[in-house]
Amino acid sequence: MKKKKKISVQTIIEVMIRAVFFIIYPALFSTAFTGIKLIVEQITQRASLQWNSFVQTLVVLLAFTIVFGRFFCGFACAFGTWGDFVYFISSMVCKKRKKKPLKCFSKEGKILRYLKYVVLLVVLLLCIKGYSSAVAVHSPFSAFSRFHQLKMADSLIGTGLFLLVTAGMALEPRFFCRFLCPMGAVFSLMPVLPFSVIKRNRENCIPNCKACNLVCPANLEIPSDKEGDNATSGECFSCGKCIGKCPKQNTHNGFWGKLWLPMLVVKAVILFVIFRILY
Amino acid sequence: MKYKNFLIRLCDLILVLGLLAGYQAVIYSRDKEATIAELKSQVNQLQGEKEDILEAAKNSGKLGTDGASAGQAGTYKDGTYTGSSQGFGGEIKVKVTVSGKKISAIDIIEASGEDEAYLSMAKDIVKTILDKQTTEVDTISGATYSSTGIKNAVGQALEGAAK
Ligand code: SF4
Ligand code: SF4
Repeated sequence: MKKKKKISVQTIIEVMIRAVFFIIYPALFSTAFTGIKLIVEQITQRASLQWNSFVQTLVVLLAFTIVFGRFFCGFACAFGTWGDFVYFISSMVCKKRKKKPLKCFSKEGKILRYLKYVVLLVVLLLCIKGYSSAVAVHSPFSAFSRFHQLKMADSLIGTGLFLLVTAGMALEPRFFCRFLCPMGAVFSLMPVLPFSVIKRNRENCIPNCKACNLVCPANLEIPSDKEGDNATSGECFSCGKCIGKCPKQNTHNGFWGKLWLPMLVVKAVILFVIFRILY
Repeated sequence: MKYKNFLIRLCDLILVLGLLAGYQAVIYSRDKEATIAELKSQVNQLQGEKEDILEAAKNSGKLGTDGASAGQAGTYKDGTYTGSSQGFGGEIKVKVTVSGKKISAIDIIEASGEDEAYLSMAKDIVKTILDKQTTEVDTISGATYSSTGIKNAVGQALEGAAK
């Protein structure tokens, strides 16, 4: 009983953080990605690199990710929140029909996760070839932000892609983030400081327990304390689901130990304040 | 090794940052050289003009003072005008001030539907319009919606000024 209550506190806090960022900063991911596109474009034109608000957003988010892990992806990104929301609805429907939540790509995911690097390269290549405004107009990001403003999107391709992606989101947790997001591709290459990587005290585990791996929306093998981090640690969204799941509370956030929940609030406040000051 | 992955990523990142910094340095010195060359040629040209003028002055006995300012007269009437147009997420309203028959100031008075980052970038177009004294300028890539909105709003305001 007590356990249950604790989980719900966590859920309430998580939903609140997400709601705030979803409403106030719905475009951060595409703003940051535009920063990357601009840098690439400027290099193609042999122009000097400009510091502007896009690049600034990019640098802030990357630095934040290095220090605290992908908190942004876990809680602040509007597209990530949208994906989790769609998946939540789809699992509710499954539950009503007495079925397990869908996980259509859990095996393929191990390969599909590299698709996002391909997406990143293709998009950047299009920018180099001078199609960047076409990319911006037809991207599902733009369609999403039009919908976010309760407007019809003005590009059919963008809308189509957005609906396809949304359908995918219902079939597999974090479908877009894990397989397609070019910004996620960049985030997953960041050197997250070791003390912010989620690990588990494997020696203390119930033998053969995989509860944390199973609950992980990124379908990761959570590294043991001895490993420190592993090749896929960059895929971790710092969502904390594994931390809430472990019956022995073996999963932890490095240096911050068991202080997951207070740290979550602290991170949210820091990121929020940074953007308040900047804009 | 415990932190192998972290170290690999760290090195990659440093490498990328280093490349960007190197690129920036190269471009910076290139731009600087270009400016120096341009300034030099300007100096030469001015020198030449100066000699011509001195020559002419010597010939006519006094320095020519017939230089009534022949600035290109703008085609707008003085005053302040407002215009509006559709941006990314709503209406953009601008106030255009014309004085001395020239566009002297452009203020954005309303753009609540625009995303901050895009808007602040799109504002660069204001400078270009002021420089060129026309709305026939390129939109800012990366902030196409917002900058087009500003451009069209200014255009609308100037329609009032042309009458
Ligand atoms: S992976 Fe992309 S869409 Fe997913 S949360 Fe991160 S930035 Fe957002
Ligand atoms: S469940 Fe754990 S390992 Fe998986 S993404 Fe969330 S925080 Fe990372």
